[in-house]
Amino acid sequence: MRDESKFYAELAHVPEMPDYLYRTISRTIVRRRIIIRSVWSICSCLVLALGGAFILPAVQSPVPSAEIQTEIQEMQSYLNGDSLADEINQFAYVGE
Amino acid sequence: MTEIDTITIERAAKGDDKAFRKLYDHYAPFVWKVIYRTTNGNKDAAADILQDTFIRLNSSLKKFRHDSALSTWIYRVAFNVAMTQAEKSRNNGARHVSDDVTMELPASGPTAEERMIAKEILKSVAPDERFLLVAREVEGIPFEELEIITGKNSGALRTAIHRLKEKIRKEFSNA
Repeated sequence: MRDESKFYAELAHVPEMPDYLYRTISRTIVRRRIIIRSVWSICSCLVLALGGAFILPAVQSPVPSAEIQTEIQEMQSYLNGDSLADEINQFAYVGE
Repeated sequence: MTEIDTITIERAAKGDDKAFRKLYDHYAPFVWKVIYRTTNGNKDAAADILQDTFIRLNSSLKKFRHDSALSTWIYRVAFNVAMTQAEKSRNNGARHVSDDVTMELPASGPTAEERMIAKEILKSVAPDERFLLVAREVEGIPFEELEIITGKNSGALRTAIHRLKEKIRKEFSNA
């Protein structure tokens, strides 16, 4: 009959952990970190570029509503003096 | 096993490399012992599992909520990685070759013949059971922690350990 404790002694006897393991782990972690940061940077650039492409044309060529267009036309004609003759006629009788 | 201080864990979770190194130096030797035997003495496979465990740990340490001891959490990651690796090896039909046949043992330890018998017995045991056997009988991890590590209930674990010890008693003593 063999002593069963020898089996557990064999089970507990394990060689030293290799020294290179942490170097590999550390390198992989750094590589992953660089990849993640690069992906984030690329995504941020894409968002900015695409956002700019959609937003800038809208800002550069705004289309005013019909109401505002009428207002502008009225202001333009007033400034050009288009309605001056009518106004002179209108106010000519005020003093009389 | 004594646990590492909370400050080191939090610093490691925030990406402090020195804190992570401290954490590795503290826990890796314990994990190595269990993993080495789980792979039945395959040093390369054990090294791969250990590396993968700590790489995963580094990215998921932020999620650690101190619900259990960190060692339990690390063993759980190691167990999952080891089982995935064992599954892959089984599917690939790979055969693990033991590296520790030439390892020196003290004179009072098992003889060369006893070591060979022990290895043969371990070969016939499934990787998850080898993990369980070393974690329980060598490292003395309590059943409550083994429940968390393996995801099996305490009753099933106690039965499995009892069955394994019976098998070892029969096969080792009478071989």
